[in-house]
Amino acid sequence: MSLHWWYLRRGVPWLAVLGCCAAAGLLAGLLARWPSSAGVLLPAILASCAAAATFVFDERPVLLVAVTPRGAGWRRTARLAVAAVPLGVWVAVILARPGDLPLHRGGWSLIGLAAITLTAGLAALSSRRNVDAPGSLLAAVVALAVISPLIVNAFLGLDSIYPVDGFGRSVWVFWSIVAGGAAVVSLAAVRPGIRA
Amino acid sequence: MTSSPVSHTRMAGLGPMAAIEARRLARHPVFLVGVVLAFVVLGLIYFLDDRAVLGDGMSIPVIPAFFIGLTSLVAMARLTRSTEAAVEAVATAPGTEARRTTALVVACLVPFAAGAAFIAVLLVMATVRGVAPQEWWFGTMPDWQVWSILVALGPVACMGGGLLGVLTGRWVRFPGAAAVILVAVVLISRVGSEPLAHGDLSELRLWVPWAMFHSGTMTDGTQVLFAGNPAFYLGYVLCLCAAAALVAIWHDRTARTAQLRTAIVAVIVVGLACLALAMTTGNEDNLTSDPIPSQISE
Repeated sequence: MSLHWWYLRRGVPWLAVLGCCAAAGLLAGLLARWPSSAGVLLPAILASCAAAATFVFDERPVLLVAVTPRGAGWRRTARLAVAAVPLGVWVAVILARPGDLPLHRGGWSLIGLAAITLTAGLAALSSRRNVDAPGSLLAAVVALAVISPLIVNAFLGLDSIYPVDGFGRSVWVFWSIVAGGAAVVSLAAVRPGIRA
Repeated sequence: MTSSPVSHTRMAGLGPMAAIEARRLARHPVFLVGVVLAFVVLGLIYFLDDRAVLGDGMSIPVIPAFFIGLTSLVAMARLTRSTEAAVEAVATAPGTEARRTTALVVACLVPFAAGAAFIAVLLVMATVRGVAPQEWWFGTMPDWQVWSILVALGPVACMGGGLLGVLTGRWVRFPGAAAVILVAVVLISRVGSEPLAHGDLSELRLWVPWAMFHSGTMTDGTQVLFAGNPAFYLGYVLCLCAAAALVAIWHDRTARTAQLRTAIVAVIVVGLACLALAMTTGNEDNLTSDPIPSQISE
């Protein structure tokens, strides 16, 4: 355990991870002040937490460390566990219900679990393909992807996938599928072996 | 009047550099995906909408602004940083930093062109299918207002995203800077304007870099055209674009001339004047259309 901690303390870019988590906390503060903007602030908080998870696999000497005796699997599993930090921030925000919003805690926790696990899994897959710092680009792409339903859904007459006042069946199905995909991506990323 | 040999050489070198940067942007996967998604969403709006006419045409420019503008931000930020990585590695990169920045700025005409193409397709769709007679569009409001809104919120917003990416790449160094700026732009544009839009002081929403002028069709079938002067708002966002470009060039210490300083100050002054005029002229109040019968919710 101490070896894992020693490695993560030195190997993970904590400034980027915790910076994104701090941004999520700041946005949660804004949400508590202006709960009427929940429709855009909650996805922005989710984007911040998901962006934090993308930095977990940033590791400049990835080509060197991939062939160390301890093994790539040990390294990937240890780093994937760090995604629990932004997930914890997200769950804390949902449990706190800033602005006394009537958030469905189970549903919103599922949203966070699916989005953060998926982004961490994608970062792990990138690392597996020897991308040394996938975080910067992946964070921006994930932010775009998380926010895009706010723009598109109204034009296409689709239900919001970020329901503030109750989860419909279609929303549960959508996020369950995303969570399933996230599990598959993460398992594919941490499977034994060095390369993709 | 003849140009000096120095300025001629400078311009002659800039063209090929700008062309290279434009090609790099046009081939960047994030930008390409953004452009494709923008047109796919427009196609879905057209083909999946069961209305006989095209609706909410004045709201649709948010799609290129989001998908093309924000992906341009991400792509340009990376392209800008990548040119500096080359400088560190080789130390013989062509031209000065200011010149490379200028080439990147010129490359932002690519997202402008993509946004213009999007608006052109939108206009063709509106012509083919027609719009409801109550719709805020050509015929129910002055043509110059429609053109100003479409240009400001479509192509200029796309170009502005790219220029903000150049600015981000030059000035903001921490990992994930593009993501932070992206989320900040979306939040500022929405949270900074939506609460104001339907109030008595609707024109105050115009300070944001992407301010809506059209509410979209509401449940009673009406649409709101928000207060303010779209032509001066177009001038304001063009000044924001120019300011982003000039401040990005300012990052190069050797380019910090009195001329550049004067240009930045002038753009800021003109931009603030345009913003003041956008807020104080044009439509004084929000205008509500007649209800579109087919859009009244049961």
